[in-house]
Amino acid sequence: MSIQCPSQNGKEPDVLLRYCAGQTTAAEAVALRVHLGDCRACREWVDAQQNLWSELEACDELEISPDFNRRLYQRLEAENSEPAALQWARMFTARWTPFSWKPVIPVAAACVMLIAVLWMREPRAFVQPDENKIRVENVDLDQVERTLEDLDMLKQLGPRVGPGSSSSRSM
Amino acid sequence: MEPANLPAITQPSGPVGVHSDMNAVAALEHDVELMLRVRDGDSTSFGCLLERHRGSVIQFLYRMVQDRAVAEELGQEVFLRVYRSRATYEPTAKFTTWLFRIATHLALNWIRDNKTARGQESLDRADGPAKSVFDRQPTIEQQLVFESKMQEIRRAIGMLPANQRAAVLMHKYQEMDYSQIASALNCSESAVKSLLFRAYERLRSRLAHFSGMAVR
Repeated sequence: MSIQCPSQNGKEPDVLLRYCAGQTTAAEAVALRVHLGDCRACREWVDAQQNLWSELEACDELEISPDFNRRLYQRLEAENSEPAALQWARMFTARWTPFSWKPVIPVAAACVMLIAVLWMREPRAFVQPDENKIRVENVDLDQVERTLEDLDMLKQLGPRVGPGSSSSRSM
Repeated sequence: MEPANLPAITQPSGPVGVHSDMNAVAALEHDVELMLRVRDGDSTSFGCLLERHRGSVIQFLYRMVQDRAVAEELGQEVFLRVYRSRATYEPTAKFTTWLFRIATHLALNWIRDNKTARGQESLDRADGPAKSVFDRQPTIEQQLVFESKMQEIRRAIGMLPANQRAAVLMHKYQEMDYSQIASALNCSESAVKSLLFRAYERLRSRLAHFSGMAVR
């Protein structure tokens, strides 16, 4: 089995990582060992990764409290003595362990804002104006204009032709 | 339920393996069998599961949150949730994958909720007793060098983004494969690969000064 150089094929050297973790198949491991003899880049990568793993290996471990089990069993006993409804509620929430309600608040807020923005940006529906109403309003305006014009005319003519004017008196 | 009545089961020295050797397969099947017995009301089996996985779960949580008390508290919550879920348990996935899925979500939630309050405080303090790796009594100088190195490794791990940290810890210390990590983190296998590569690259560059580590 021959392999394409993991460092040169443009992809992340997945096979090298699996090799360092001991997760390659026997055939892959043999092919990689042959390749590592020839390829300096891959050899350096594997050396660096193995060094890192040995450093991480030395990472300290926590000594667990001797009363860990006792405290756990106490909590279990306490839960068992709770009312059945509460136990069912706990069981229900345990089923949804990976789900957290916290992100729901910002998501809901974002949805509300989005709806508000869409509502504000939405063009108002075009309302067909009532033609009769328009006509009536137009007629009214015309009447007003005509009335005003008539009044102006009367004002201009008024002193000359109106009753009690000097010309009529003189006649 | 009485802890004193639980059968004595020796804690495995390492994590439960997921490779194809027969012992590991038997162990995995045994876990599922134990959990099914817990579902049927056998609390002794719960004690067996606790003894088998308590260590690996708490170590994982400790490395995730880097706080002893919090790790133990979250560890208790993990096993409480396992017990609460017993009635609805279905062996659709490996038991350890399910267990670490619970542990990962609890740890990630805790990290998210305590991001601002936590800061760097917990990384710098000596946090409870840790198992020594020295075979014999170390000198004070050795102890100091070791402590400083551990602190640097803890800091390097702690500086990784939470998802990358979880992926590295499950890959390195729990020997979980990509599919199991993907299931625990609820993401795709390619996302896990990407998380692992970026995490290891960061760790290699941060810890490069140890033993003249070459950086890619």
